[in-house]
Amino acid sequence: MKPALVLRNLVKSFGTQGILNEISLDVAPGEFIALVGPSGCGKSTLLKVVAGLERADAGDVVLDGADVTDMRAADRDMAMVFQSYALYPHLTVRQNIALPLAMRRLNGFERLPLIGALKASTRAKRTAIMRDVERTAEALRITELLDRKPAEMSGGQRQRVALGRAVVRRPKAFLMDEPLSNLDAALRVHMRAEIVSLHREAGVVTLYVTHDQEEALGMADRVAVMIGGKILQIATPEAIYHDPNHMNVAGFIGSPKINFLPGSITHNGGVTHAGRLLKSGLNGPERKVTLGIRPEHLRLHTDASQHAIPLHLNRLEFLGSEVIAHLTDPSDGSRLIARLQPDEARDLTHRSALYASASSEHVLVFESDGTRVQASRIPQQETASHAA
Amino acid sequence: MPRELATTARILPFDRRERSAAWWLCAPTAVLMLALLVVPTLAVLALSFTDAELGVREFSFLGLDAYRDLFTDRAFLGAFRNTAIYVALVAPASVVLGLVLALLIEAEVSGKAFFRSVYFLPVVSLTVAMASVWQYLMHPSFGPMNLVLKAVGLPGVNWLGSSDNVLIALALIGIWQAVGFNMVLFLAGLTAINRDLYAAAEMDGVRSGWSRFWTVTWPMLGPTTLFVVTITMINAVKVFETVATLTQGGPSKASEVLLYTIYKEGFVYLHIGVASAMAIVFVGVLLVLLLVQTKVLEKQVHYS
Repeated sequence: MKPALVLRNLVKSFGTQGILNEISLDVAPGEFIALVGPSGCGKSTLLKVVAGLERADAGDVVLDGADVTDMRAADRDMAMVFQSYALYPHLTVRQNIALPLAMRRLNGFERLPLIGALKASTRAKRTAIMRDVERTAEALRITELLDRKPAEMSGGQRQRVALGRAVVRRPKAFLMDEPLSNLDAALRVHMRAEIVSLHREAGVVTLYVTHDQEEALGMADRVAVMIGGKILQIATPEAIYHDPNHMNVAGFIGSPKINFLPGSITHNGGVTHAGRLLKSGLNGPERKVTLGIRPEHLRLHTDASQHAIPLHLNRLEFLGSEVIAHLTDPSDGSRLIARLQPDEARDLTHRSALYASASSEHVLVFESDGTRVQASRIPQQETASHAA
Repeated sequence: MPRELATTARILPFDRRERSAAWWLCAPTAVLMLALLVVPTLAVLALSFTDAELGVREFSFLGLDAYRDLFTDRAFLGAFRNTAIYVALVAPASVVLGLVLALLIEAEVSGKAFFRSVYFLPVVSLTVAMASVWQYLMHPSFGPMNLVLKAVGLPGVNWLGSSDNVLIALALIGIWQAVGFNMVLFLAGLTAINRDLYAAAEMDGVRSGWSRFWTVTWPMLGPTTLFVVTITMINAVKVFETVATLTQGGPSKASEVLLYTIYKEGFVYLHIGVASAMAIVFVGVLLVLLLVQTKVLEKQVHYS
């Protein structure tokens, strides 16, 4: 299938500060892409470049097969939802949602408040606009808000209106710039589902910028992790989480954060940390690497084994459905975190010396430049330790 | 319950102490306000009902007749009318020009600071000093304004010397003075507009600068505009320096304005009673303007 939106080698810098560094991205029709990254990574700038609100220094934006790079935002037929909602405060909800339609369907004369309504054709157009506004309001369940002004509504209601203003004219793409960041946590979770279903109904390409990895993983078909003006990885949420291609992706995605340990690759392809073999079957010369193990993949036990890492337990944090164990690695003093089921944690409470192990497919290996060392094709059956 | 009582008991003395501290802290300002504002205003109000003259021992109480006399006094009514014309000329022109300048400067990429300072200069310059410059500029025979008119083939204008033109000439100076101030206020208002609104308007298909202005800028400038209009009108009603230095109300009382008439009655003819009544009317006019603007218009320009 031909991609609906193509970004090709987009470059942008402010002065000497590089913001976007050769960004390329193909988005399939109807796909929901989340752009996630720490603040200052360039994700909002990228969205503005796609929208046409900012110009890239180089590169192209292609929408539905047409190069829109030199087209202004108003002509690109995309809709945007802003973190600040950006509703027109002097207009009612009805007028806010009608504005993009009025701008496109009526000419300057027809938009005039009274004179414009004299012609029958204009009246018909206006009626059609109002019908569309009401249909959209119904879909978003904001019909009873239509005659209110933005100041008379809650944040969640305002964002719903902003969504309405975006969907009402059926654009070719939705661009969303942290639309839920100003809402409280409970509402945010609720609105996530609403936006996803709205996207399903409209069936158009959606670029969703967020710094919240939960939003990105939970909503998107594919997640693009942007760090330092580059897209480090673009993949399904599962792949981003379990199969990150870069240390920074692994470090950014996941909460609590992934544990990084110093390690080395031995001459026979084994991966060790502090002399303990955690994984085998890797190729290449002996070298120092970094190992990444997610907190839920660290298994803690009290019996020593040659593959298990001895650790010191500092504290258990009870969170209801899970328990977070804060640990110290005596070999270099670094902190580790393990995530346990409450019943797993019960026997550990009075112990301070523990052993941790992880099955070998859960030990991610990164080169010193951050790139992932992919395991060789030999299927890895053996586990690095035989934890109980 | 006992615990609650204990807490209240502990807080009360502290609260009383805080109250008295508040009164002490307010006292200097309150005393000054009373002595310099409230008492003089009341004194003026009292005097306005009399025919008091400075240096004359006895005076009689006229009551509301003082005001009846005022509103049948042709000179006072003339001053009232002239002030109204002056305000009607200065306020709209300086507000619109201030806004246009602010928009132009805001759109300018370079030289913002330069133009801002240039247009702000009249605000900080001394009116009395600048009046002599204007006198020269508007001189009927060798003033540059008439020289320019003559150069393009138009007849010269007797700016300050003709009773038909003098208010217009004074209004020109008033506009020149007010524009810079209004521009700075509008510039502040413009920078306070959320940039996302312009982005949203662009995404919504607002293409021309004209529709962008009416969709975003003008409505968002509402509170600023209300403030600018209020301040400009009040300042225009208070026109005095240019009249006192350039025309002294002439020729043939064509530029008599409220404040200048009050000044003449009070300080030249020493008619304290009449001047007080005029001052009360003057303050009344300002209050009505303020009330109309805050109560009627404020509802329409504040959205949150």
